[in-house]
Amino acid sequence: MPATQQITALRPAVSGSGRGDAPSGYHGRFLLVDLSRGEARHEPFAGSVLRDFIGGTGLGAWLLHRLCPKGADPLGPHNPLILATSPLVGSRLTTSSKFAVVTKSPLTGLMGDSMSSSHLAAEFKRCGVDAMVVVGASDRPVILRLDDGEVELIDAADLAGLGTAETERSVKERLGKDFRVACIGPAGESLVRFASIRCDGGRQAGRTGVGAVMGSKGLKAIAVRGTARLSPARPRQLARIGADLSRRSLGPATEKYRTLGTVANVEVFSRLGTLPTRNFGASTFGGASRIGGERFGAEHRVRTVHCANCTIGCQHVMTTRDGGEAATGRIEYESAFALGSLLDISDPNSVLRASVLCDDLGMDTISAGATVAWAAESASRGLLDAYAGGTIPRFGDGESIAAALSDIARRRGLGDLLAEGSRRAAQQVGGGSEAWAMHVKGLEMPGYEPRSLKTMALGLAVSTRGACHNRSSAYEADFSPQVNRMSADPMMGRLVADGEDHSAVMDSLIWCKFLRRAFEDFYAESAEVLSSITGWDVSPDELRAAGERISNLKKIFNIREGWVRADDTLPPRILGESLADGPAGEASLSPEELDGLIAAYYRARGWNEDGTIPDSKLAELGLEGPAAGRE
Amino acid sequence: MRLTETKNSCRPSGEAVNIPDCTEPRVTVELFGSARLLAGCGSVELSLPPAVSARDVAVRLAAVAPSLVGEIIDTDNGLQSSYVFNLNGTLFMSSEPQAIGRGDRILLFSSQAGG
Repeated sequence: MPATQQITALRPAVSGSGRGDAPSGYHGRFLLVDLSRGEARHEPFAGSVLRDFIGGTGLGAWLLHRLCPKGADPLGPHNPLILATSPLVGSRLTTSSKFAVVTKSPLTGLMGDSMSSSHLAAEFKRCGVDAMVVVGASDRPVILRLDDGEVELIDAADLAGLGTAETERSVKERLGKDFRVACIGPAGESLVRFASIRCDGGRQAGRTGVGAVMGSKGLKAIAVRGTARLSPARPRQLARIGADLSRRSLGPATEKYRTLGTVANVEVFSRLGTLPTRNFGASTFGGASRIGGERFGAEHRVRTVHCANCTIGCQHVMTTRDGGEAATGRIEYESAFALGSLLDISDPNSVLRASVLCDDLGMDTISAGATVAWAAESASRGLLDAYAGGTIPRFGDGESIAAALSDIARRRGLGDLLAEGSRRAAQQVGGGSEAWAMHVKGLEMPGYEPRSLKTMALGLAVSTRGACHNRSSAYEADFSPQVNRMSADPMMGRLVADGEDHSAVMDSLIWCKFLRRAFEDFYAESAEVLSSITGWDVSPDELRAAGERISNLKKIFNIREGWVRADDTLPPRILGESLADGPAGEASLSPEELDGLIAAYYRARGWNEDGTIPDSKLAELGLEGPAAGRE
Repeated sequence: MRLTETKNSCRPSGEAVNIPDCTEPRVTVELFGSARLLAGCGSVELSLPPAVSARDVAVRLAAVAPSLVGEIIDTDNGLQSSYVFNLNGTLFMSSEPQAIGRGDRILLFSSQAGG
């Protein structure tokens, strides 16, 4: 440790009972750290909060609604940065070592949450808390060290500007290799609005700009180590369920993820006309086979890696093979789409290099790729001529794209504008460029073409997170005989609502989404798991209701922060331009079609026609007043 | 890949081999993901009745590409639930018979679309 290192010990004052009367599987309290005041204290979870909101994104939503002042600046000191574990964390159930990062998103100004798998989740929970809420801001870069019940702030000025991999290595070298680390890179320090948080070995809490919030607090890293282990209420029952689930996790339900990984989506999505290409100007990509999983895996795979406590092993580590500067790292479908087809890049080496670069700079690959795509199109139309300095990205040019990504992370030249995300950049540049800024509520679009995936179109439009595929998994219906994906159908309203509630339960318990098809009856089996851990008698219907409650709480927060009906929409390009390159001929989505879908969704939710929530629904879900975290 | 009684086959290069001698409509089955890796080719040509369900296609495909049996095709039930057939990139096939025409293309890929 450097001799000049400043360490500030924050002694948590215990105001709750901690483990005393907490249900099994929980510590029953969270840690509140105020960086401005240099204080830390434990707070209990009172009443039925844990049972009503479970953990992960649900518990995080409850804490956010309670602790984030209305109208707080997402990058200001009052916006809480929340890390929430779940009752499953530490249970050794497959895929359960996950945690949620929840905050008010600097991209959307609404609720932002991001999940990450990591050993950090289990280590963090062993520190004797179910969640941690960080408010305030440090006036210098610091490491927040959580060592069982001890909390310290350690000066980290010497880590400023380091990439995420080097930061993690340095923190472990300084504090000890048994610490688990979450950290940001240059992008988080520069308050890039789509900065991510690297978690313990390279997994990313990627979306909604959680890394920028961490950077705004002067937090370069969080390091945790703990010894407080919890025991399930019914260990034999849990062991039986766990063994069966592990067996199923190695069956057909996860075969794609194990064999090729998510990047297997690329080629078939292009064949189906659902692969966003050249900033959503097309839905098929001539270079799809080069960056698709079949060939990418055969020519670039180095090894397969498992997340913490996971039997599936979906992470396929690839390396460049072109003789240029070597880059090795994980590649996922969303990164291959956002840094590949969306930017007209068919060279797998360039795609991999850009993905690895984003991870090390600490940026969400989806938002980064989509924002650069907006810039490439705007530049091609002569709209960025006034922005001198930095690199102008061009479609199909991997070098200019990599340079632009580096500029964004350090806010150099045009990168300073692009660091604001596509919505704000388009608002500033104007010239009609809002039409091809591909975001919803400020969050950039993932790799699912809405004009040829109508259920997904609805899911993207109404998501409380912005353009998110993962909080409804609505594409599942589109890629099945359940619906005609080319045609808007009112039944899609119910499908999206159910999908959101299902995802809310998965993200609160927390299960990996890749496990979802391994369940024969998701709610029944998950209720049995939760019961065996906590000792509660949880029914499938209770879990289903919890999912609906959590989905509604997210919406309540957004309404409080200024959401209006007009925010539930899709980019003008999607609603005003048709595609003709897919196998089904012309694919389009009119504003009237989308409005009809949104109305069907509001009806399925039991909401008002304007998308607000009636008091009767709030009462039904127990979301009135303090129950929703309002004091 | 060995020839079968239906006289269809494919080459590891990914190009389909067509041995036309059948009065039934002939279609091309395009293989993606693990199906392609297991079969060692990108597509297979099949002769099919004019109206077929997903299970019918699976049974015919299993005869031509036996390496797909197990991971992809369940000989008792048709396709594994983690796989789907799509006709011409537009319609997902189910247990209901679907009209098939000469030159149609059936896509076989994972139903796990998450990314």
